[in-house]
Amino acid sequence: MGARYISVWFPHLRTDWFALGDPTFHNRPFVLRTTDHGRMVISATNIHAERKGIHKGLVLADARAIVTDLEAIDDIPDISVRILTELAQWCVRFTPVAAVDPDDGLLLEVSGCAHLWGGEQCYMHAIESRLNARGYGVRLGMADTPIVAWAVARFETETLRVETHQLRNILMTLPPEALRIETDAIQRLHKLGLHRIAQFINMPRNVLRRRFGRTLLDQLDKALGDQVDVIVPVVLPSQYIERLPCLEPVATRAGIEFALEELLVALCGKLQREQKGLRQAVFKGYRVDGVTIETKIGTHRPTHHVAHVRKLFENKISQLEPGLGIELFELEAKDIEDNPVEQERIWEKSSGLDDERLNELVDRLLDRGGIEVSRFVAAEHYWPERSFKKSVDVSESPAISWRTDVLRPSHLLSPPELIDVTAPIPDYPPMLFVYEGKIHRVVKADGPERIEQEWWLQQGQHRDYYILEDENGVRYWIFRLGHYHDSNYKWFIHGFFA
Amino acid sequence: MALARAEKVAQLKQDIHRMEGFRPAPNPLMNTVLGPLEEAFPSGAFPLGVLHEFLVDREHRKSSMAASVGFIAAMVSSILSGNGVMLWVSAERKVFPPSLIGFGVKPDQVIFVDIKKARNVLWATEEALKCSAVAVVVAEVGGLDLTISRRLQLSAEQSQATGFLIRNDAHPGITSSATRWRISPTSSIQIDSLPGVGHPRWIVELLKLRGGMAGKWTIQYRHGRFEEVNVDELSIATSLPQTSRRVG
Repeated sequence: MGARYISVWFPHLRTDWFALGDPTFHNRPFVLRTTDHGRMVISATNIHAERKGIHKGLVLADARAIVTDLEAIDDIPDISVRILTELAQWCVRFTPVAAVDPDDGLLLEVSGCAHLWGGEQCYMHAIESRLNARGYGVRLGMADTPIVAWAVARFETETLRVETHQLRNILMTLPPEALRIETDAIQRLHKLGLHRIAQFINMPRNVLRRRFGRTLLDQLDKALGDQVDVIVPVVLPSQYIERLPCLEPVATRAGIEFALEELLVALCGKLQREQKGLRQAVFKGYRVDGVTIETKIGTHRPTHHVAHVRKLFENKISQLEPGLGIELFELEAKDIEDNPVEQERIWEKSSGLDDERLNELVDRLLDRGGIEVSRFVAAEHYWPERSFKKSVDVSESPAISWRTDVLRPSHLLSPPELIDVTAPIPDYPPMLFVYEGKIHRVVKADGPERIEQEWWLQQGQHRDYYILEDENGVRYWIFRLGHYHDSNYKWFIHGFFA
Repeated sequence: MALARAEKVAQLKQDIHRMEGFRPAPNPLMNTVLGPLEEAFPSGAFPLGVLHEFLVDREHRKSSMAASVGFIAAMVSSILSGNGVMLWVSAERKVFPPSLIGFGVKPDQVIFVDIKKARNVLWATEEALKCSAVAVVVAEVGGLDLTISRRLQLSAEQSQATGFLIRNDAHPGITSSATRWRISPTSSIQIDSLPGVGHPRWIVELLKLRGGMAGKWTIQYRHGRFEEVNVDELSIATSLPQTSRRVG
């Protein structure tokens, strides 16, 4: 089966959009106006105005002569593309490949989609009625090529489906404008009396090229499917995305959980078969009222474990507001990474930091919010505060080993606290110090251990560290910042030893 | 006949201990670390898969914390031997990771879980204890009561993770933990009266032990194990040395 395309034409795109914002516009003629060379010109009309003979390009004053109570609103430039992009994203419920077709249409690639709605006729009817329900008047055309679909939507009087074998015949009945070629080529064709494509489709190609340019031939080929027309979908379809349309809108938690489970099983199964794992997953619900709600989770390591991802989503489901109901669920895996399936290691009780269960625990903790999980590896610095650094992930193997030649306090004060110290002579440890209002008499002492500033990172004075023990047997880590001879040295307490 | 009965009673006693979490130490290292503390435990095994409580002296919080951290790290080092993983759950972490290496724990085996809201600490502790990939959970907790400790205890039993709870509460109250300790630092001694600060030395009070005897020891940690210290030796400590050693 070949490709199938649907072109959706919005004859009154912008006025329909304005009418959505103000229901009073529904039943009376109104137009959008722009200024052009100092005149007010009509840039779009609604269906009622059009029926009264007002068309685009008419000067507003002339139009008011026809319809006296004509309402006119200032047009917003570039609004069509915005509306169309939004509509194309909404159309994702019908097909994954939906593209904006400026200025007033959408192009949907629907190959292999129609049977889900019970045939092409029902499918087109569904799209048309759903767009009508949203407040947009549309006309659809379906064909094997985008150009014919586009032309059929615009030049036929009603929605039409072109079967594969009819393609050429239908194309022949259409005017040359249907080929979407530049205006002067169209004018030249009409001047020569070629008002239907049938009249020139069989002419020799070199004649056509000489008179009307290369584009005409290209467009003809594209229309007949001899050349491929490239379309750029508005939402790039991801490989790891699962959808679940619902017959009835879902508004209960149980329903959402069921949908999530279905999607997870499908998505994780796919990931597992391809030995991939997700780092991020987005769960989206398309609501009946056109609002998209979503929630996302992140994992610490790539995973394709259904139970794990479900658990992460469990807390988030309550944040979703189903409103009147969700009609389409979508689960997308982002940040796909390789995750080879490991052999079960039944003889090993725990595999330490690589254990999958540990990663799941970390994800659960991180998911709660307000919790930071870190693991530290040794860093090549003498400065105590910089002697360790956070590892990139839980299972990173340390590049250098820890220093075992120096004693470090179990309890570190950060930042160090200023204390008053009595010390005998230069470089001798203190005799007593005052910390938190108490005098501590030093009984035993070790030191000093001088730690220099790492000048390439930070300027300042060196520290001379002493390990002290007071008469209660408490062991402290104390340092003097700067030389004893300088008048501006200070003493600090930096930690407690076990 | 009487012999057979005695044997049976002994067997049953062991069964009860096992059900209470006192499994024979899974690795022989454990008992070498314990040293003099070994005698306190029924069948000489430090119980795993249970909760251990450590009380912190409110008046000397920082020094008491430091001593508890050192003691716990020394205990944990043998449980973690190999590639075991330890979680450190706290709301305001003060432990200095590089210091753990001095007690035989590689700091990169520890995952630090820092929690902004204190009320989440117990939740995170329970989650961590439930995870069977974790060997040890150290948590600095407050507001522990019988119900909560029971929950934690059940989680620990299920996953066989061992929990060390450093308690910040003013009043310890009744909990379902297997042991309750208080560790306070005490004066150290250098061998042969050398000047300077000696090995870490603590007064270890075992306030409560399920199925065993409470006790009090003065021990020091040296060469990767606990050693009992003669109390007579302590009297020397009162003499004030006037000299200091210069290093570095």
